[in-house]
This record gives sequence, C-alpha cells and structure tokens, in this order.
Amino acid sequence: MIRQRVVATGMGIISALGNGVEANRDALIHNRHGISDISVLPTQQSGILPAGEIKLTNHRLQSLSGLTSGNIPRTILLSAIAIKEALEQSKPEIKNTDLYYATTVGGISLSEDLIAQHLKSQEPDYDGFIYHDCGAGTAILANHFSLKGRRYAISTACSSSANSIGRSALDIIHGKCRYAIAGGGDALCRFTLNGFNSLMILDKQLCSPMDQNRRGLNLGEGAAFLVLESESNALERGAEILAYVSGFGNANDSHHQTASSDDGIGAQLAMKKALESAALSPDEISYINAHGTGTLNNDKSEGLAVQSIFDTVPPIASTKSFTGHTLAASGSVEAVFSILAIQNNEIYPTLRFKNPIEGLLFSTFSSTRQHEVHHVLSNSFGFGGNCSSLIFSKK
Amino acid sequence: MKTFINHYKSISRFTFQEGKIIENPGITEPEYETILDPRTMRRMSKILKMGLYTSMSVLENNSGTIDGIICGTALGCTSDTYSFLKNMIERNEQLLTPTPFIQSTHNTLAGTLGILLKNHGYNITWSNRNFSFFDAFEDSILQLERGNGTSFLLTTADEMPDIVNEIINHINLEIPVKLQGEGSVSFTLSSSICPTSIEVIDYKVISTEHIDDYLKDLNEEAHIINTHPTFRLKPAANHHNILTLAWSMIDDAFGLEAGCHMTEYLAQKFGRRPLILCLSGDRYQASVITIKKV
Repeated sequence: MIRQRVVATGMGIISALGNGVEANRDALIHNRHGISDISVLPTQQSGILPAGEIKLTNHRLQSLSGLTSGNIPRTILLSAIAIKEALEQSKPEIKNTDLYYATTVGGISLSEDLIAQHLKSQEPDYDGFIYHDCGAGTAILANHFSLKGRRYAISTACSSSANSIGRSALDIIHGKCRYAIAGGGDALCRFTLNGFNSLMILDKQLCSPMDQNRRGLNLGEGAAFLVLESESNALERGAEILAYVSGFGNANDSHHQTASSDDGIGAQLAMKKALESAALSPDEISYINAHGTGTLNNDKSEGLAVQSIFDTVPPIASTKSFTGHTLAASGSVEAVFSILAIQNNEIYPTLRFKNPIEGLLFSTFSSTRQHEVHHVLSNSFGFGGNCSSLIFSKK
Repeated sequence: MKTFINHYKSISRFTFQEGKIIENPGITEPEYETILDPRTMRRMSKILKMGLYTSMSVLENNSGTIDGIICGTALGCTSDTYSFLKNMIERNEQLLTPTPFIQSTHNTLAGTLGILLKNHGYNITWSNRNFSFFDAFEDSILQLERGNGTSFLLTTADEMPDIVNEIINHINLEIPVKLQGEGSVSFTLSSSICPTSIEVIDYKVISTEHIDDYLKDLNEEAHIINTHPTFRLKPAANHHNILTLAWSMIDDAFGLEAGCHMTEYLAQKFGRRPLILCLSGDRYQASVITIKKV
C-alpha cells in the first residue's frame, strides 16, 4: 500500500488576536498580542488577572456562528465560527466528512452559572446542563454543519486538539477517513480561571514565556480547526494544499497530575515519536512552536526535553505570549500558526522575551522574522501528563 | 490481524449469573483496599477509585506489560468539578483549594493510571456521550492494528453524584438518562491470544435506522445484547437470544462486559461459541461490537 500523505486544505481560527486566519496573521506579523483585562466574562478576577479574551459577547458570537437558537455554550460558538471558515476555504464533500472535536472546558461556562443559581435556590434554566459534557459540542457542531460521518470528542486537557489532529491524520493515512475537520475550542470561564489561580501559576502581568523571569501563564480562549484529507484526494479535486501534516507523537509523562517531570520525559517521547513518524531527523526542523506556557515548571522541563532531542535547537518560540493559553484549543490554534509560518516563511516570536532561562543551552526571540520554513514541530502538553507533538511540513 | 479481549472486569449494576444478566438497583462498591493502596486513594473521587480498581483488576493476572492507556468517560469527574465549583461560588472566587480542580479534568483517570503504572506510552481520553466507550474501544483496536503496541488497557468510567442527579431530574430529556448509570469497566485488548481470550470479530458504526437490515443476515445462533437507547429489537424468529439492557451513558461498556461473560458461559456450559453482538449508540448512529469465544 502506498502510504498516503495528509494535507491541510482549510483552516479557521478565532482567538484573542481576532476572528479569522488573516486577522490572526496580521497580529502575529505586527507583534501585537491579544492579552488584556477581562471585560466580557463576569468574574471577580477582572482587573486582577489578564487573559487572552475575545472581546465579543455570546450574543455576537451566536450571530457570527449561526447557532442562534438556545443557550449554546461559548466554547461551541467559538468552534462553529472556526469550522465555518475552514470549510469555506476547503469545501470538502460534507457527506464524507468526519469531525474530530476536542475540548476540556465544554459547557462548564454555562454550568457554573446554573449551579450558582441552584445553590442559591433560584430556579436556573436546568436544560442548559445538556450542554455540559464534551460530547455536546461534537453533537451540536456535527448537526449544525450537517456532517454525516463519524464524530469524535477527545479530552486530554491542554493537548486535546493536538490529539484530534494527530488521530484524524492517522485515520486518513489508513484510508479510514476521507475528510476530517479536526481541532478544538475552549472558552474562558470562572472555573478554569480560578482553578489555575488556585494552583498559583497565573501571571498577574503579561506573561513572559521562556524567560528566566517568567511568572506564570495567562489564560486565553479560542478555537481553531483544520480540514484534512489525503494528498491524492486534494490533487484530484484541485484543492489548494496549505501544508502537510507529517508527524504525530503521543506519550505520557507519568510523573504528576499537573506538573511536568524535571527532564520532561513525556515531552521527549512525544517529540521523538513525531519525528519518527515523519521520518525526519531533528536537524530538519526549521522552527519549534513550543508549548511554552510561561510557568516556571513547564518552560524549564520542556526546554530540557527539547535540548535532549536537538543537538542544535532551531528557532523556538511560544505564541502563547500573543494568545494566552487557550487550553484544549492550543494545539489547533498553534497548528494554524505553524501552517502560516510554512506558507509565509516567517517565524512568530515569544513577545516580551528578555533573559534566557538559566541552565538551558538555547533561547528564544522577541519579534517576528523572516525565515525559510520547511518543517515545524508544535508541542502541546497537558494535565494528566498528556504530551503530544505534531509536525507540519511544506511539500 | 486478530484482536482479543483477554481480561475484563466491571463495577456495574448488572451481574451475570447462569447465563442471565441481572439488573440491580445500583452498583455495589468493592473493597477497594484489596487492590488499591489506601494512601493512593486519599482524596480520590468515586470515578477514580472505580476506574483504578477495575483497571488494576484486569492487569493483576496479566503478566505482560501494556503499551498504552485508553479511557472513555461521558461526564468525567463530576464530583470534583462540583466540589471546586461550589467552593468557588461560596467563597466568591477567593482562596480556593486546588485539589478538586486538579482532579476535575476528563483525563484525570488516564493520567493517574499513567502515573501508577509508570506507563509512558500512548495515553488518551475520549469523552463523547454515548460513544465515549465505543470511541475508546475503536482506538484500542486501531492502536493494535496499526502496530503501535501489542496490548492496551481500555477503561471507561462514569460517576453520578447527587448534584448531577438533582439537576438531571429537572431536565426534560428526549432520551432519559439512567441515573444509576455509573460504574467502571476495564478490558485488556491484545494482539496475542491467551487461555481466556475472546476474539473481536468486528466493530463498526452504522446508521440507527439501518440496524434491522444489518441484523437480518445474522445466523440464528447469534446473541444480541442491546443497550441502544431508542432501538428495540423485534422478537423475530431468527433472533431468539435477545437481551435488552436499560440504558445509560456507560451501559454500552457494561453490555460488552456482559457479552464477555455470556460467551464464556455458553462455551463452558454447552460448548457453544456463537457470535455475540453488542449494540448501542444514539438516535442517529449505532455502534456494533461482535465478539466470539476463541
């Protein structure tokens, strides 16, 4: 059997950098971040914890997404907007399109209001609870876009959408799937904001990932999706190939529920597996989009893992300095950025970077620059030790 | 390539006795301490204890090592989620304890298993309503077929704390959710055969409206275990071995476990090895897993 190559023929994104691929790229090339005081989400943390918040109300997102009936959670609204853009670009056969959706927040942005009212013995709209679970997003999105194929939902915390892209690519390689919509979404909510705050890993200032003086992460929100298919299918129907999905690795750190091991063994294994599956050697990677959350623990651990794989570390940066950490969406948000890097031969920086991390042999850079990009490695690591790496390639 | 279910264990409201599936009002929690270290279990929610218990049970007599951990859950860690939410609401978002937040993500069970088993392999969690178990099951088979390993742990678990009960009672659901629908089921899936092996003959997703057509061609020996929420088997002549289980989001996993008991029972008692079809799904799509005693 000839091994099928997997290509992206559509992509869509909404993040704190803007709605749509163009708006996101514009912010990236102008080194313009989207992190600000929280003003849309009602929370006590507003004015205290900055975040990569999308400054659109749910009402506005409803009309942008076309999901106007019912009280659909923000996560799903964001996802619908990104899927719509990806589908418009690729125009796959809808009846042969499978959905690989990823989320971790799901409908908790609704449940947190519902339970607050329930506890105060006010009569909430209990029906909103049917949107609580991760699978609700899959069900609503598949129906909204009239998708008749298989519909999946993955939830591996912050590596969720990297896994949805990786798994769908494998299904295409093995002839199990014709077209895949793969990615994920997560909205800001009080639950995750206060959860990460209770772990004391949120930065009260703008985050400084991969910097010796990093103080933690800023949360973000967003959704991003790719349309994937086999190269032969894309060529046959004359679809424009944006980039190739050439490698995927999934491994477990097996160390701690929320912290990474000192040597980042899970990260090492995920990167190694991704390189093996892409049949690439480390020196062929042009750019690494790091997980790079900005926490003391992650950035050191990831850094040590990176330098254990790469004799010479290629340009590496964390675009979470632009978007904040979009949790389950981060893998697919950064997949879009990786593909943009390939298309435009430019690499996106770690904003605000000043001082290299002590004990690491490499550092990052602080503004977007031109650079020949052939292969991008993108890392996504999460709670539960879930580590995934993807590789995107030019031709 | 053939794939086998080599070990299985559940905490389920269904028990299996002499070829019959008996539905009990709820689950009976086991004595976790017989398998799990009490220190490990400190501050663990029910879903984690159940999931770890059935996982460790199927691995106990399994001399080989596993290559990865594949989990499914429909609602995830609802009690820790609620516990953190309640705290957050009552304390007005100030000075919160992180433990329930740490244990609230859907992949907490898979992550905890990764740590306890020191397993650095493939690790994933599927959370997709009625297909949470089937997606995880399919993934386990695909991992084997695609040569990513020779043995995988598959665990699916859900819990139904009182708060979820209370809320669901207020909702007018199209398909009622079985509130006793909690428990955990674990399997080891392997590409190598052992004395307890049950072969996975087929697994697929079909349109719910086409289930009848699909079953039409079955030979009359076949047994069907139906946990599909809307599809009801017609007692046709060629389907004389029908079992219909009540439904919840985890019952498809219970259905497959019951199928494993059934195939074992028929082989031991009567020397018969018929196909057993485990049917589930939702209004649109149905999942079918077909097994047979080796």
